Amino acid sequence: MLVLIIIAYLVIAYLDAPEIWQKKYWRELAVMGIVWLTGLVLSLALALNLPVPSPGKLLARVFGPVTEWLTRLIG
Amino acid sequence: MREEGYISPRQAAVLLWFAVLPTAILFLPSLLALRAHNDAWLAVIGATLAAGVVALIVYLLAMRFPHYTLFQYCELILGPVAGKMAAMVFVLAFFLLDAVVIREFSEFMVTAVMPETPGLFFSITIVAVAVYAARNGLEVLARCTDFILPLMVIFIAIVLLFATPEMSPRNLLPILENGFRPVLGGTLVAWSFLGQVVILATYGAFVNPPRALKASLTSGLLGIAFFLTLVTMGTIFVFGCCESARQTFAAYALARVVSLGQFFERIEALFLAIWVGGVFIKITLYLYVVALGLATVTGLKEYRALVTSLGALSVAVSHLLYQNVAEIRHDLLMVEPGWTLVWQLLLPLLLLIVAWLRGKRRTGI
Repeated sequence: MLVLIIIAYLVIAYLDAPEIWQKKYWRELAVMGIVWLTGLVLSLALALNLPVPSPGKLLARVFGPVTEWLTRLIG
Repeated sequence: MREEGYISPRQAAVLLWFAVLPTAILFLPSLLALRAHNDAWLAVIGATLAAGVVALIVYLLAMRFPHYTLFQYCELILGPVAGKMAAMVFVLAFFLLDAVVIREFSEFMVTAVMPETPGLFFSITIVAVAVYAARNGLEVLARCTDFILPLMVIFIAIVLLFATPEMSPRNLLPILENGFRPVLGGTLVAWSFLGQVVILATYGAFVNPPRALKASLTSGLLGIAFFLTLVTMGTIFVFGCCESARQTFAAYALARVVSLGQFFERIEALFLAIWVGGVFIKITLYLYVVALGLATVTGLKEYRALVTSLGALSVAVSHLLYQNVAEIRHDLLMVEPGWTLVWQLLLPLLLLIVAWLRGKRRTGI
């Protein structure tokens, strides 16, 4: 699984990066690199079953009470 | 940053249908039956009115800043720092929505159709196609809808028509049994889907002429309301409110009951094929908007380079989001309404008010 993930991300980098490199779009390369790296790290962490905080849980903690209040208010 | 190329107002309206309907048709009827019982279809109409407010805000903003995307006029209205932050909130919200849709798709495939296949397989394949389509830009996507839309409309019509022998309109009665409160509760749930019309604030910038945005917003919203009401009513007619609430995917169950003279049966496979087409458009549209938004916020010259990495990241995030389909349903009921209210209604409203107070407009191009 880990190997598959790394290969997949390398393929993405191989398909996207050379064109941007040749055009000398450094900003594009930087932003792309950040997104790419985040994805890679996150995928590896998930594959290794590391405890990653879920954005869904975060939203639920903040907006769960809001929705509950709204539901009680009108529904 | 903006893209070369324009789409017609009709294509914008159809894209708006695809930005809301695919997942809404599948998840909403049963959630609405849970909240609003027999009056689920009234809740759809209530949510349409609420989404009409969003549509009005989007239209007024677009009239102040024609040919500018949401991410661009965030900065024009709020200034460079606060504007970038607001635009980033929108980018993250659209990204999260995209991840939720991917997860809903793979969860549906696993739960209802192919329980032996890992969900990851479905999300990776659909995102791979979506990445390919999103790199080709909005015009190509708009032309994709010309192909999928007739299939989708014909198919919804076929399912509803051939399910009529199973329908009993009495299931709709009594109307407003428990007063308006359950309907309003259902409206809140339906709202989190219908509020997604806010996406027109982003690709609406490529509609030519900008004034025609009014027509695409109205026809887009009315079309969404029409199909959603039809499907919700159909499920209530066939299953009654209690049984609809128990079905996780009521529209899919509706396609399963269709049986005509023992030979026209099991058309849910067809439903599946066409529905996958619809979800593909939805995922692609959101991926495109996220890439465009991120490119705008970070000041890039082109968004295409970001699409693939964003696609990979969204697959990972979609798998992080939920454990199973029950958690998705709980989230759609108990979390999404509040969250979507903030970023789909209050944030655009804030933008409009600030633009109005500071007298910002950019009409002279």
